[in-house]
Amino acid sequence: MNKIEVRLFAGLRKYHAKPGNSEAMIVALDDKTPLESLLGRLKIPPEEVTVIMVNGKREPANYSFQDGDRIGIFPLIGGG
Amino acid sequence: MSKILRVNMTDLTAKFESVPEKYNLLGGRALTSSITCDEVPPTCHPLGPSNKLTFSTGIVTGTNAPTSGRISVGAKAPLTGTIKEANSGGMAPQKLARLGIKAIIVEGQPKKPGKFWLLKVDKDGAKLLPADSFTGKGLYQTYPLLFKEFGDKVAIIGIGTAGERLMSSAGICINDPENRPARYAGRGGLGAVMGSKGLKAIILDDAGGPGVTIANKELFDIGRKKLVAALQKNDLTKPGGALNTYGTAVLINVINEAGALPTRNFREGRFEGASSISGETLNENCKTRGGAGMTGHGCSPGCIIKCSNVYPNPDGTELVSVQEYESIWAFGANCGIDSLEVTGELIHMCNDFGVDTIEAGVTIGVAMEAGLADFGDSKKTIELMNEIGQGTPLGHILGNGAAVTARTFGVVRCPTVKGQAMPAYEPRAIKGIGIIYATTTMGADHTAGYTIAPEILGVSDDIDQFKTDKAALARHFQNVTAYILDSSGHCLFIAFAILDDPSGLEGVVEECNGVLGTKWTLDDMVKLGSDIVKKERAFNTAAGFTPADDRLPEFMSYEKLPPHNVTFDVPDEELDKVHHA
Repeated sequence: MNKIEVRLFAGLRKYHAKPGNSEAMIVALDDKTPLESLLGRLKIPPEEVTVIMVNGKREPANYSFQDGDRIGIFPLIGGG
Repeated sequence: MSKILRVNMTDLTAKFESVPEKYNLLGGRALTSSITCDEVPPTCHPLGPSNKLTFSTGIVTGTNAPTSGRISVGAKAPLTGTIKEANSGGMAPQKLARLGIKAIIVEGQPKKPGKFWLLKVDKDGAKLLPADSFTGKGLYQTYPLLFKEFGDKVAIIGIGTAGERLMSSAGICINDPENRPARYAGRGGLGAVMGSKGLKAIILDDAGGPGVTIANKELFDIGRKKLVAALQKNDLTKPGGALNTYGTAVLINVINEAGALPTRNFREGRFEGASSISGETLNENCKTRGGAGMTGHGCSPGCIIKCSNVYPNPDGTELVSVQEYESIWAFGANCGIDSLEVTGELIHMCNDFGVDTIEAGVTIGVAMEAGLADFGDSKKTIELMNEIGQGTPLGHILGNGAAVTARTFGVVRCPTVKGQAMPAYEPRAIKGIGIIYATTTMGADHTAGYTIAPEILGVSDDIDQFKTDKAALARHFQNVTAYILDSSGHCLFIAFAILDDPSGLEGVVEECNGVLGTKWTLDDMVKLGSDIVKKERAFNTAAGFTPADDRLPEFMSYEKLPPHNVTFDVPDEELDKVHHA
């Protein structure tokens, strides 16, 4: 089992275990779970997600989690 | 027919001229930079009589094109010694355009130093009036006095005491829809150029003005509708979308997560207090405190995005408008301060004195590095800012920006390019924006080519933030920005909606063709953008700049930035390829 830290931001915070929250959630995953299946686990519609960062870097959908990974999930955002 | 207003501060005259044919199809940055290149000697002193300050609205500004209330201000900049275009929203851009004025050129210098004037422009003409009773005060005091004198329907383009005192961090202020002194053509010290001309403020009354001529109304409307649809569809720019809900500070968390939020004077890339100064927290405080607080505030009429806000005190009274990403970061993460109450107070001070929030925040970070305050010390930060407001000798050092402050105190970790403070993206962790900082004609400037969109935000493309071969990307972004955004009169933020929506982009091309009666293609416009950048480069070269100036500060090449522990490793040859493909 891998334990990862997940943070949801902006409009995605409604999918937090405590809705509206940005605090880190600790999620336990089987080894080799790909990034794309995390969204299903958290019940986040994939079409609402634009950026997934793992340890501060965007990773492709087939990325396999390592124990202790820090995940940030973002909708479409921008500014200047 | 639109005109150029030429204001001579030596003999105190204001005269209208017809627009030379070569300027007929230009607007915004394309026009301010053309006039600067044509009329300002590149080696002149930025605060001397030979420099000229030019104001020009964008091509579609003053029409009902969405999110198009923008004005460009150009000159040779005292902060950088380069050519400069700083861009603002607020109430003045549309009024100037509707007065049928394509540009205002301010030249010369009063014979008597320290004397200030107001330029009043209305449908009947333009005249200079003494400004004696409006100088020496903060802008929160001065603007209400000016509105009392000229009526609350005018727009004001003015400078604060920082501009009067010729400080290189002085911006040019424009009132927002509620007449706050809150919107800024902030960067490069153009407020000091205005101060050096003895011009305190421009008062624009567009009542009875001729409006903007549209050569092909049918085409313009087709384009406008396409852009409106694109803005209303995009999750970021639509009403109730991310920018409208959280403001530009929605970026704090994502840039922090990417390890690229400059923290404690660019020592680190992640700030432990980021969440407290994020757009999400800002939104919650606006909602729960009620009263004056709001997100979704528009900086100019006709904006669909409305990314501005009014930030409330805990009791619901107004603290400041606007707390936006760059300003919050500059005084927040960059100074180790994790409170929106404190960043709000500091932004209010900047608006009051008339200084650029980015330059001021980075300067305070450098001052902390020098030991003038501890990182995170809010009280001392406010005291240092007050030195600028009071114009003390220390205030003059700080008011002249980060590079001057670093040199004064022997600070090596000085995050500037060509003398201008870096904005809120760490170039060691996001290489493309570093290439932009190094190679724009303006000094460190994120708005000259917002590569953050593909490098972090997944907009327009997905490009690895750490890859270094981005000369072509940086060139393309600079060229597109110079025309499609900085010259059309649209806000930079329409980019998010049009980069991934060909119809929206087509709409902007059609709007411009509609106003001008041209038949340009998108490629033609990118070529026009490239011509603007080339012209600006030529000005800088003649002013003495070489490829050796197109570099980031040396410390970024040997200090590793946590959490990614990376240096800026883009080779010099890659930087030089941006303008020499």
